[in-house]
Amino acid sequence: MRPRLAVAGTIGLLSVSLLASLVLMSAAIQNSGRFGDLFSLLLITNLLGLAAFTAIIAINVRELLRKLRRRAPGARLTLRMLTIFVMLSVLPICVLFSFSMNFLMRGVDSWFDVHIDHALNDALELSRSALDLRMREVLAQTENLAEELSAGGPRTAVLDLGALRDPGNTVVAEAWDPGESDLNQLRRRIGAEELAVVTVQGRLLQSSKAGTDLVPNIPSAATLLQVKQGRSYIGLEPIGNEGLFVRVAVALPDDNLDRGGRVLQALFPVAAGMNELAASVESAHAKYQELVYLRRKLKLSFAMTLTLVLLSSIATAIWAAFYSARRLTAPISDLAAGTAAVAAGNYTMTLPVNTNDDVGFLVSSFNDMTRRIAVARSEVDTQHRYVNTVLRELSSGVLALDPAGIVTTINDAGRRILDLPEAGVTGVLLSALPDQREHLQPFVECVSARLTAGDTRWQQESQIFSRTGRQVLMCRGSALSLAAGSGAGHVVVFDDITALIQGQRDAAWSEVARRLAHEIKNPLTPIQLSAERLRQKYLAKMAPPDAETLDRLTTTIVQQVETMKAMVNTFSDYARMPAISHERTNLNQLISAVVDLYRSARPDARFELDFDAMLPAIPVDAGRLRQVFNNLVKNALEASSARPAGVVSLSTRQLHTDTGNHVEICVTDQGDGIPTDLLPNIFEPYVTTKSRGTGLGLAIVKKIIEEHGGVVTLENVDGGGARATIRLPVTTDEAPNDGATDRRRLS
Amino acid sequence: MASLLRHLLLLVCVGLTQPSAAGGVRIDHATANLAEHQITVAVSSSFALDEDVIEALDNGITLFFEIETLVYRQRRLWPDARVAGTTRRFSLSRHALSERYSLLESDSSQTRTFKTSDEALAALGQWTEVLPCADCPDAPPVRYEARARLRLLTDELPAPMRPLVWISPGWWVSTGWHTWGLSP
Repeated sequence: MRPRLAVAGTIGLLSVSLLASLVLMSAAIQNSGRFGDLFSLLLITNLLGLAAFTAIIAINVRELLRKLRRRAPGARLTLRMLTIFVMLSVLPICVLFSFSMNFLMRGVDSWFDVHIDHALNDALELSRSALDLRMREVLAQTENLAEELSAGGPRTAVLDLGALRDPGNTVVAEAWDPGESDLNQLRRRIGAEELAVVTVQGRLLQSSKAGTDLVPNIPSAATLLQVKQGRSYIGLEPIGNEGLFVRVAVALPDDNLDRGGRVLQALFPVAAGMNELAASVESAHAKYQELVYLRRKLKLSFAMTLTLVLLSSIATAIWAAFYSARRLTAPISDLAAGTAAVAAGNYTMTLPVNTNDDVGFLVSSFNDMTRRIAVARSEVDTQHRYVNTVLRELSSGVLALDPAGIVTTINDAGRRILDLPEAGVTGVLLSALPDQREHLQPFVECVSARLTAGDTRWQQESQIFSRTGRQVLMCRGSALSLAAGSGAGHVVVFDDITALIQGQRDAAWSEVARRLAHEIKNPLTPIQLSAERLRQKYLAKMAPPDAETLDRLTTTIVQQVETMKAMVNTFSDYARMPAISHERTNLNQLISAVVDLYRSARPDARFELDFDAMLPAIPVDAGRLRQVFNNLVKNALEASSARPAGVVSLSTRQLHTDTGNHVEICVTDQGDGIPTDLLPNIFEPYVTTKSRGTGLGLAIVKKIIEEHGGVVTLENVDGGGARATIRLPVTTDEAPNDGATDRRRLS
Repeated sequence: MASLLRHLLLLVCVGLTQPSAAGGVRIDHATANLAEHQITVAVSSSFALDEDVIEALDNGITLFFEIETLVYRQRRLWPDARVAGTTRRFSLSRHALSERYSLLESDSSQTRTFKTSDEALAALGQWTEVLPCADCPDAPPVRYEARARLRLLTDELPAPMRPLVWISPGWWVSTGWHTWGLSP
């Protein structure tokens, strides 16, 4: 509705401007007086209007250019509509201006006709000719009168003409006796209006004048100068409102003009009829001459005015075009801006509905669309948050890949299992993950192989070797698909089943140990008793050689049985370790006691101790931990004995990690280290590098440490040797931590 | 407003108009005398009108002039007080039939005719005013200041000429206010 009103208003304004210019032209052609009355007002109004419109247009153009430069929505549409509007309005105005100007110039020229010009000049010349006759007559009369006066002899009284003009002075002329002729009588005789005798300097000597005005009309200095030069003066002069007069000035013949001679001046009225006709001719000629003089200026003024009207109209049209284009494109610009906002993710954009037309319907539809998108987006966000929460709480790792193999999502558990950082994972190719964590290469190869094979649903176990040791991952993959059937990538769910497998193995070994202890230990006692009875019964009765043999054999049987008993007891201990009892213990002292024991038993052994004096006392089963350190020191001494100057290093320190405080104990030897192939399973029963031994020592160590909620690792060190590292949590309560949980946390 | 507009128009059009011979009017000599409660002011000025102005006069355009003569009593800390003054208007035109220039004073209808425009302008440029001033003390320390101005009234010109006159400096004929001291 508003654009329609704007267009109507614009058209109305243009119409008024054009109508005003037409009225002006009409008035000028018919009567220049009307034009003159309106001229200043029109000029100033048009100049002000033009300046205002020019300023407005300049502002609008600058704004439009700025919008075009920054590619604002709707700017190009506005420019297009503006161009159309301007073309539609300016072209007709220019055509009209051209025709109007041509018509006006021709109209002004038509006022003037060379025949009229000639006729008026002729009339003026005719009037002069008619008056010339009269002028010659009065000149002759005046000259005759001058001779007559000159013959009568002068007796003069000099009047100061300047003093006479001063109303404050009273000037009285001396009586002049003209002799036989009286000046008044002379004036009446020759029919003059005024008769005066003055000196050549302009002083009045005597005068006579018809009527009541006593002040004579003194000739000008130029007139007196001409007379003084010996030439009589005669001329037509308009005097006031009394019409034309003939002024005659002649010198009195016998006077010496160089020495204050006298001049006779006479003013003769032109006959009333002649005067009226001459005035008419003079007036007509003057008006026509003025018109002729003003013709060029009139045309210039008209052209200037019409040009101003034209410029004002064009400026009005351009401004109206700006206004209309802006009004018409505003909803479309809003829509474009709204669409851009929606594209940028702003779904709360609502546009004002100002009209009930098609554009208004479009805007309403847009608002409905954005509202629905906002609702859907909100639901999607909720769903997304829900999924993220589920993923975050999952203990299984979830890894989502797009069709190109780029990681799009990975949950916290997945990041923790794969030892990946918080940032820098999503958006990275799966194949590039080993660049960040080299140990992930087997996992990546496993998943990539499945993806390359195009498996839509698969399950595979993968092993990686991280800083905490071997990890067994159970991976399950599924191809994601959209409704249209196109691929949307894959999702891989994986679990760290290392602890589970280890637990299963531990349970199996415990069962084996328990069965071995049960099945082997039972017959050992009868065997030992039987061997002892054989020895007691027959040793004394047998001959010395046989007795010696019997003694050696039975002794061997008893010793081996004892060894087997010890081994069975060890198995039994492994299978059924008693519940640990916590007691806050200073590990430095505990380790020192163990080392002192070995120092006394092995004087050649060399130890290096590096204890943290600030190591806190933690709740542990001191007896069980003594068993742990015993095993580790014993193993280290055995490994170091291969070298002459082997040193066993023991150190303690406190660790502060994001998962809490820990106590770390390291036992390092300088032996040959552990074969690489044994390293992953070194803590399993019957895995040992020694030719003699049960292979249960490290398994028991691991079991005890895990029962304390700690973790133990074994690694080779650079330069030879191996290092066993134990980390125990620093807890404030007496209860031990869950071993599996802490193991994860520490890793 | 009209003056401001005129100057603006001049700035705009100065490059579009042909430069013409400079013309104008200036006051050459001015005297004033106070005696017996009458102030006599005599001013002598000379004209050098632009040829466009003379051309317009010769083509039947009547020129209107205004002569203003004012006398102020000077005061300290207060604006000067006007004690006497008069304004007279003249029209100068050419009478085609008699081929003379007619100088008419509007108030008195007194007409003087001259053979040439220079004579008419010379007559116009000489004027004497006798201004009565009953309240004028004619003894020091009272001081007076006389002001006189003669100018061409362009507003009286025919309308088609006015816009062109606005942008043509040759038509700006004015002596400006000429001031001089007057002592009793």
